[in-house]
Amino acid sequence: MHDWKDDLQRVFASIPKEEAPQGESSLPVEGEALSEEEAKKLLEALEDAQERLTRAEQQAHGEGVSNSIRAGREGATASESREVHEATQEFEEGVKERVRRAKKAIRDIERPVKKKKRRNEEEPAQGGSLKVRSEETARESGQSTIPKERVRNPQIDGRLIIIGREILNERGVNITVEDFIQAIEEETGEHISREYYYSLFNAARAQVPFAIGKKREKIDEKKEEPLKKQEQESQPQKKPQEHHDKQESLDIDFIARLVVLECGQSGSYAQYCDRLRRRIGGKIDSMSQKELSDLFRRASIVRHPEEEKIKQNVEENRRRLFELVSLFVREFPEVTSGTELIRIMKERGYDPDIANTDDFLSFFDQAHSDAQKKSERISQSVVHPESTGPLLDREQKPSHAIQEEKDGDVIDVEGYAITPSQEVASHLYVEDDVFSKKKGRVARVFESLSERTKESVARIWDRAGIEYRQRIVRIPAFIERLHDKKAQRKKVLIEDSEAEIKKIQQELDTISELEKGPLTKKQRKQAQKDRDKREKRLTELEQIRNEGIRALDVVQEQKKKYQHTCQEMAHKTYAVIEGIASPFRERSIDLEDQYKRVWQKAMHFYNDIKEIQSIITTLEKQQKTTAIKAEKLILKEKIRALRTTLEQALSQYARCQQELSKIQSVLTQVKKKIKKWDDKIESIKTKSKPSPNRTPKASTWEPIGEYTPEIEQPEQEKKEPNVSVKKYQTLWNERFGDSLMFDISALDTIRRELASTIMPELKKVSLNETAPIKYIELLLRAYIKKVIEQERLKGGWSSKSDKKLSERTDEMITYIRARVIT
Amino acid sequence: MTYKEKVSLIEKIESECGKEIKALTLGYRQKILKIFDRVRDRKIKELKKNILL
Repeated sequence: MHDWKDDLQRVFASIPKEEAPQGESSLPVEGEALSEEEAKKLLEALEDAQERLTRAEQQAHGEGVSNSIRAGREGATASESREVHEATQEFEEGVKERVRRAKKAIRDIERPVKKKKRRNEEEPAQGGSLKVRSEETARESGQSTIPKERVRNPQIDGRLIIIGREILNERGVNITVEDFIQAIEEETGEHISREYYYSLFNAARAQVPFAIGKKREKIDEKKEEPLKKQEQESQPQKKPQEHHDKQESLDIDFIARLVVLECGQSGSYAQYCDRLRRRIGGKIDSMSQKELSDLFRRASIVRHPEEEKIKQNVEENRRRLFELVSLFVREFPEVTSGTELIRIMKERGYDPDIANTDDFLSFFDQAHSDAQKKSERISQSVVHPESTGPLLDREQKPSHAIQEEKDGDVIDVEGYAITPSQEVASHLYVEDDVFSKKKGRVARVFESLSERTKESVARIWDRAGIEYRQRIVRIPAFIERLHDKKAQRKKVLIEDSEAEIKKIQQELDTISELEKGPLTKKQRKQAQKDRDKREKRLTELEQIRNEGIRALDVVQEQKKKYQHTCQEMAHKTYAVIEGIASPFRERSIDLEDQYKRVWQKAMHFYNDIKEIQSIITTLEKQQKTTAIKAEKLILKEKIRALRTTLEQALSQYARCQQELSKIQSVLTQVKKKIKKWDDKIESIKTKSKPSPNRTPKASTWEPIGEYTPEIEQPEQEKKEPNVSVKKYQTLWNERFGDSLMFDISALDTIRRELASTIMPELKKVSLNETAPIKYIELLLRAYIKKVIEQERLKGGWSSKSDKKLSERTDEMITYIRARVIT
Repeated sequence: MTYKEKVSLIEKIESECGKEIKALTLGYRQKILKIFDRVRDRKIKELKKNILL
């Protein structure tokens, strides 16, 4: 058969040793700076020490009271009673003073050094005046009479919150702020800047179980208003809002993707903006149009697997929203409408994204019904210590509670008779409630974390778990104190009985001694009467003492028994914690996996980007090279064009040169003719004097040739026939062969040379076939020019020969042309 | 101060205070005992007187 005790033993064995024992620190002790964990632990140590000191003070007071009662019982006179009272008072004050000093010293340990420093810095800022305020003035204005130099302006530290929490526990959360201020001043002996009271009040109230969400109905509204203003001034940015902003900035890209997913890829820009505004609030207004469009552009480029992931995240968000709603429903069970809950959530800095109102309302209904079921379950099993209703009926009580009552093992808790198991159960209930809040807090942390690393999640969770476990181990201590108190009462009873027995025995001894002496009959009778009376009382006292001893044994037994019960309950509770913790652990592992996957993907993208960048760089280089090449090509083209232009210009130059030489030859002939005519005129003038009536003879001048530039007659080229070079050669050699032979091979050499450089038109001349006359003539002129140059270089050539040859060339060309055409 | 130092200081303060309270309690108890002894002596004297009368 499966034994659940074995399971518990196993669970208990799995508790790390450093966490289980009470009073021992499981925290690291090295290092200067206190971690959050250490600070919390230290705060608890302070709280425990102060509690112990308070108990010592109460014990001293109890002893004093018991002595005063004893003085009355033993028949002390007024002066003796006064002596006892004075001694007791002196003793109690001494203890009180020492406890106060010790408490202060302990508190000073926790107080941060920087506060003292700040206070010192602030003092000169007040004009250096450290004058004590007039008490009368202070009383008149209703302010504290504590000197101003003691005024602190602290941050809300843990010590003050503890004090504040104690005050709220004692006097209720509906205490007015005025009363709260007074109580804090009385308790600490220090005056705190007024604007901090409000924050302190809120911070302390937040730590009081069942106080969250309750309004301060009793605070005067008129008084509250300026305080609220002060609060707003002193706390321009509330923590939840900061937290909210941080979360938004972290996940803005993610939210944008969600928005795109919700609206669809084809959603309008206005739709996107509207949805985004609902999710991140006014933050969108601070974004430029470019930032917004970039955000949506990024969000729209969603790859398929990521889209799936985001869909999963939407589901996850719905689940988280449900958890959040459940948490708020548990904390505010009085809320019955979804709208009201949204308002409360918003007040506390949570802006639930209620894209689908139906979803939210169904969540609310479900959470509400769950909470009601849970509440019913709890009310059937335990009695809450804060409950003002009657204790459970006998029929409803668990069997062990009835047995405890039968045993007369009932304790007095705030005027109610409660059995120890009920008491423990109620504490467990409180603890469970605290842990529910913790769980809620962890859930909230998960809300805010989303994509953070496992380390942060695990750290937060472990802190909550350790704290809870520490609270669990306090319960046995509570039970121990409870039984110690009972045992103490029994011991006092026994001691008192024994003291009285001793006293009576002494009296009996005295009576016996008196009886031994000579006594009258009356005296003897009186002695006997006194003896009987004392003996009777002695018997009674012995009975009381024996009963006390028996009761003490019972208490000791009970103590052992309940210690065992507590331990079992602690094991059970630990198992419950483990049960609650494991899904969170799993979730944290999931998150870690998710984180790893995201990281890998990010690395993959990063590598891709790097590769693309290198490709871009290569392409840029190639582009540059290509551009240079293209430029080169352009330049080449330009050069080619220029060269063509130059060749054309040169050929035109050659033609012009040819025409010029023609004109020059014509001019020379004209000049000759003119000279001839001038000579004739001169000879006529000298030979005969002219008669006055003589009429001049008609001019005998005839033009030698008419200049007609060939370039200006392109049509002529078409009209002129093609001639074979051979024919030209034959005609040339027939007419001019004696002076200059037409060497066709030399002519071809010149043709090739000139055609490749300055006269491309000579390419058209084919020496073996026919060619236009014009080009053959051009070739001939070039040939003759070359011959002239060659001869000139040889030195066997005069300008006369040149002139002669040039004339002959013209003559030959004209002759051949005439022969060819005809 | 480190966490350990702070905790040990708290313990020290608590222990010192405990010692002082213990000393005060002892003194007080002696004082009270004397008063009660006186009361007892007086009562026995009264008893004797009463019996002898």
